[in-house]
Amino acid sequence: MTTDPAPQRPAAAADRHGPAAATVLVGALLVLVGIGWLLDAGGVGVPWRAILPAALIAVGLACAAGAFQGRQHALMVVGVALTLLLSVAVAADWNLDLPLAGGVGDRTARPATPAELRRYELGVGNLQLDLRQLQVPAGTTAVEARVGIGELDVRLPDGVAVDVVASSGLGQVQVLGREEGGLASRIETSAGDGDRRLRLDVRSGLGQVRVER
Amino acid sequence: MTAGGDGPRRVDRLSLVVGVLFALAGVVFLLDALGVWTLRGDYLVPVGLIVLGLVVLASDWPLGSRRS
Repeated sequence: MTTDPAPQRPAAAADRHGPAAATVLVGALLVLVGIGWLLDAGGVGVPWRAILPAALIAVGLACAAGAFQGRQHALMVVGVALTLLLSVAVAADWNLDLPLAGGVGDRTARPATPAELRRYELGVGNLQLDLRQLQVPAGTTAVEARVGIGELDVRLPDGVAVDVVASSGLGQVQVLGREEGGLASRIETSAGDGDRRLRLDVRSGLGQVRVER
Repeated sequence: MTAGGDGPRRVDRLSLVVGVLFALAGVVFLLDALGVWTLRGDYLVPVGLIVLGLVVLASDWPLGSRRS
């Protein structure tokens, strides 16, 4: 009497002792980014610039650990993409801090007094900062604005000296008639005289920055 | 030994080497982000070439078991 051999499981299934490393990694990264975003929205400072390198370390460890289960194509693709992104960011001096807490959408701010000034932040969208009605006192008044992805448009008051530092990780920068474009665009300039001075520091991670009177 | 007792489990060398290099690169970028040191952009391309060469060499280097 003969017996049929027991059906063999596919080799891939036999090697699987749990979820794939790529699945665990992607899930964990999504959870971590969500937690970071929540903390950021709650006012806790999250070092987003350190998130991508940390993600690359995690991808590398998962790829090395997964080597015992076979070739990790997906993790290698993710790792190469992260490495390229970080390399370009370093080479172009990108600031990868994304002001997610600033929210999403189009915003307009028209501060009239120095007391109304704050640090203006927008995650994604267009921010228009109209300073034409601002009563600038004697001395130096600092204004800072950040947009993660989108356009930042600043209108300056008349009769006030200005020191402007405007930059964009990738996009056009126009400041008082000067213009630059491309990767890591930056214009630093001053205009006007007087004891009332406005120091403006504006930046968009990805998008246009425009400063004009 | 494997759990099934059917010989040693094979390690994918390319995934192992690339994974270790990713982790090392991540540490370098993390230290730059935290301000411990500053990476210079003009070093990146030659360092990248060196790393790529190491990956190519390591991916075909004998590791533990001999090729049949």
